Amino acid sequence: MMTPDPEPLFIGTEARTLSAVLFRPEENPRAAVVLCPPFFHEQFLSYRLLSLVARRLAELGIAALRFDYYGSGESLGDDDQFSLSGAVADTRVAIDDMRRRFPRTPLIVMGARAGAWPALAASDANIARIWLWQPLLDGSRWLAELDARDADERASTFRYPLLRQWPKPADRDHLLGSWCGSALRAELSTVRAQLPLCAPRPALDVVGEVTDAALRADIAKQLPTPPAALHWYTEIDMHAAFLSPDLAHCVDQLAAPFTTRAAA
Amino acid sequence: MNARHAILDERDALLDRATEAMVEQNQTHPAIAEHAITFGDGLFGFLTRPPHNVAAGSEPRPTVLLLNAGLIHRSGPFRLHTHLARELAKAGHAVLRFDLPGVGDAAFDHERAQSQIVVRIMDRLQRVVGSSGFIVGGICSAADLGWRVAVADQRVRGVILLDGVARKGFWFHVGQAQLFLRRSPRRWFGMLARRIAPAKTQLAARASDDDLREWPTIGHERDELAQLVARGTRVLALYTGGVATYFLHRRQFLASFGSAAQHPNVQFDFWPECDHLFMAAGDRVRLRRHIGNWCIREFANADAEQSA
Repeated sequence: MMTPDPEPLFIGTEARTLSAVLFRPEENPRAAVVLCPPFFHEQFLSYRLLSLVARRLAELGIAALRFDYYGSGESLGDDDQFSLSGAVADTRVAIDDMRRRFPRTPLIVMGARAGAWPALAASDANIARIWLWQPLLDGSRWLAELDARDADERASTFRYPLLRQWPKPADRDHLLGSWCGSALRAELSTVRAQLPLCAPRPALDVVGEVTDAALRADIAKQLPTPPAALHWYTEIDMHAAFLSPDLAHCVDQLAAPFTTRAAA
Repeated sequence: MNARHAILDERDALLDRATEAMVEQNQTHPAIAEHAITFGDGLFGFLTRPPHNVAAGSEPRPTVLLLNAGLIHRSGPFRLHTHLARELAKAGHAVLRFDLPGVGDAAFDHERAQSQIVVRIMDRLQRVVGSSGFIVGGICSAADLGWRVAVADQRVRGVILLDGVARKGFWFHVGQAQLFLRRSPRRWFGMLARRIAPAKTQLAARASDDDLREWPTIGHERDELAQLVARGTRVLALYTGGVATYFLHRRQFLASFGSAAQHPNVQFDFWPECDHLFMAAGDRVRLRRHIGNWCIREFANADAEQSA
């Protein structure tokens, strides 16, 4: 199925310009999705996968906008200007941008991994659905995992075979190669995934596991993680470099409320 | 055939006009002057241009094309390309980062070779932005592709090879012996076991370098480097500890490339304490500064000497 080429664009203000890519369907969209990427190294590890998801959505008649938070990816801002509160504000900018482009179109906010936090926090009663893709629920737990992995990587003779002494010294205020200063660390240590307190609450669909009982009770649809998307956030994974049938099927199921005949 | 060419020419002209419009319309912060730029067939990139006061009145410096490091999209590992593009732009270079087919936002393209695509992108940059010379390369497969493009296209004035081609040979084995002796005796058994592993395992290890990388036929790299330096192309070749499967000793470079490796147009460095993707922020800062200094030395100073 052919769709128009993805459109690179810039959104936001001159002082806080965000890099974005819009995937348009061939005809008027049945819905529009804002994709919130993961944080830190998972941002570039996720890029291809989320691009494939966006492209598939466009094939299904749903417009998709993926963007980079300020201070990350290709957006403006130095690494140390990235913050969780900034990511939430940037998500609102992306939501407003899609609202302007596609008025009167159901709007969906999708968050992958840590992107679940800004996706949830920026959503309001005007959002039709929230999609969480392999969401992270507890910020402090994730930080602890990253700290442990950072220590492992710096001590790895596979990553650093020719060091004279292991571990490689830590970079101050960095985690696994990405900036994580004390203010950001403080923000992340308290964040938890929870639905916005608005009425009506957007419907929640999840790909992957959710261990939090409160959030689990709110899930409208839960899909298993496609096998092709099991490992992308820990390593560069060839399986997530092309649209495999299991990945396509997962996206199709997520999009089903907007693509079935009844919905049309 | 002629009709097809006419259609392609018309499409190129349309794309040129669209690209000109996008470049004219500065879509981001004026201090950075970054533009989205499309190349047809779903390919696009971001062109970072120098502030006007840097390039005014002087010969434009070569445009830098940062190629994808394997499957990592155009912003590079840990934003390496984003930062490098903005820093090199401040030093007077236009810098393009884009996705090759099958990477990032670009769909697969089974019809054209990657080097053809890069040459086509250089053509468009030459027509639309006025670039006359280019620096190409990057990490790993980007170095391999940069090398092929440099050999094939005379407009390439510089090539950046980060963990590019090298041959194992005698000095690699010296490096292995040194590594072996440096490790704790407790690890010797494991290292020896891997050395005498079944042929199947060794075959898998070999496949990770020679077979998965797109290197010249053995021996051709010497002639190709000699050809590049003879025509004035500058070469920055840097190897990290992350490619210890094929590069372990600094003398491997000379052994791999022969006397051309000692030409003044070639800068060689070996950073064994870095990994392949420059994960440590300090390593990335060092790399960006290193590439920036090389560009100034090889291109800004050369231009100044030429105009004097």
